[in-house]
Amino acid sequence: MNSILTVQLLVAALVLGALYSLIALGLNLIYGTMRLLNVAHGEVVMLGGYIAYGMSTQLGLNTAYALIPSMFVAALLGFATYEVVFRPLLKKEQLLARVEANSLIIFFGVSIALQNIAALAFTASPKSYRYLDQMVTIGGASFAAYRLFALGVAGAACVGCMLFFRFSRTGLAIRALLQQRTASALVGIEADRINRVVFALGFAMAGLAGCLVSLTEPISPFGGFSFTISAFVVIILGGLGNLLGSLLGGLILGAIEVYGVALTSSNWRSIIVYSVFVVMLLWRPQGLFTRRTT
Amino acid sequence: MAAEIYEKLITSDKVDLLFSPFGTPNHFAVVPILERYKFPMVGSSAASVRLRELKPGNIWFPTSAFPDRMAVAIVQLLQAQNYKTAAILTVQLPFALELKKFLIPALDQAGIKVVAAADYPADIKDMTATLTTIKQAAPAAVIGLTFPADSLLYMQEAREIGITAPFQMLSVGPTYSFFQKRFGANANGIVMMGHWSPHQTAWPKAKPFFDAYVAKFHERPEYFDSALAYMSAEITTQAVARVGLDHDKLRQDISTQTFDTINGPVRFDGVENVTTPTMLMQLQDGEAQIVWPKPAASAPFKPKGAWAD
Repeated sequence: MNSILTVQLLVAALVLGALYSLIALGLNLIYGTMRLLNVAHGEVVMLGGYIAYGMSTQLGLNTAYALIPSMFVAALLGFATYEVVFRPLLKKEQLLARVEANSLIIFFGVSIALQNIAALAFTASPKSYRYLDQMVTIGGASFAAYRLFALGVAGAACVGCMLFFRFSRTGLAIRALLQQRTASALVGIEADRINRVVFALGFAMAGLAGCLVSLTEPISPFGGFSFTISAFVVIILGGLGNLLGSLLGGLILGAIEVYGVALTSSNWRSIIVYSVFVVMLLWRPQGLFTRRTT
Repeated sequence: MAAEIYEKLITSDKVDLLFSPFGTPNHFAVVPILERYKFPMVGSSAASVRLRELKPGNIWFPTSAFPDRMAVAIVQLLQAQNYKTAAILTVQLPFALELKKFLIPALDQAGIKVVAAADYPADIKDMTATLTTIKQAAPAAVIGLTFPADSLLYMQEAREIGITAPFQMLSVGPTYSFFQKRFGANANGIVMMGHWSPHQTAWPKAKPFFDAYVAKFHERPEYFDSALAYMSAEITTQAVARVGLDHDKLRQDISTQTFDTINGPVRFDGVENVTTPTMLMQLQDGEAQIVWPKPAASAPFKPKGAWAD
């Protein structure tokens, strides 16, 4: 048991969990407000990684300066995706009923397009770069500084988002849409404007996460899918449309992966993660942090 | 998907020649298509004993890194250094799993004790717990049967945990251009698969290929897969130059002739390149050097030094 209670494992679980939380928050935000399942979310993460890689290696800039551009470019992509693809769909009465199912196919197409654009632009070879490579000692355990940087930024972004949803006017409007889409229109919330913000914000979070992921993993055009899958597991854990649930679900998934492997072996990692996923769907399909509605 | 694409290329697009896809699983997928249409194709970044045993007649593998031969080469290098214990990490992908199948009995036969072993899925995001177990087992050799993403994960977390084994191997990954850029001096000492290096002066085409690649792409070629892809194209081109596009003649030519490549002369017996020895490479001072077998080596093996802070 002593080998489980180490600072090394705790920080590893926190870093992984914080990245999962940030990625899942964006996915859940779009699903929660519009019931659109973005299977291209991992490709937006990958896009953020390429922006960080490009700014670091081509422009020679500190990766910290890539955080905002990664978010901005991803937000623009989200805005464009909403305006060009989903806004027209949501306007048509006969398509509205099928929009949830159609969104899967549309986002699947977006995913394939983004993968191949990235392969054409950057080649299919994995890319990586060095940033904050020095070691830092905490509680007798050593960590590369970039991992702590990723933890700090992802944590701050998650907390910032939660504060935005709780205290800002737009954030409150987003939560209203999450809870009661029809009723929110009755109190004057302009759904179209909020949808636009939600797409931009959801994609921006994925872009930011990609910038941070590029510090810990090589970036490749086809590497985004595993993040989409992990984000799905997180939102099933935390609850579809439950933003705080996504945050906590990410931390739980990080802990399940790191401590699950520590208690068994890495052979069991996928079995443990996907067993939890299936059990959650059967036992609490509404998620751990959402009350069951009658 | 690869099978459908190749079938379409043959039947609908009616191409004259095919170049190979990436990786062992995709090669596995297209072999039945090549056999069905009797369409010869030189493979590249793939090797499989299982495929070799099936004796397909329309594919050839320029690599000498067949899992059974690679297992023997790894064990020979460990024996030459007198290392007695090893840990094995294996990504759950066909090539790595097949290599592990041959490596464990070869280590056992050589009296090298496997003190820790773990398999993990290809999309693993953290190896802290696994590497902590390996550190506690204190092996002389850590043999990572890896791919690029998990190679990077190993490097960052082995350094944090402080794995100090003098032999640390990551089978696929260190030969990629990104690896050196990412890890700098910490990459020195890492052993990997590969049998091509621009530093091997016995192959006159090796250095010109390296220089041309850098001039075109502004980065180094991947010493394993880029070299194999180019060799595959060299063999196909030379065969076509000799016998044209007739598939029966091409099959006969590729099966029997010797080809002049960036990796020296290549000749096939069955699907296998039988002229290039199975080799191991090591990053030394930022350069990938061939360190095994000794007659083909461009530099001697050096134990992995301490991680830089």
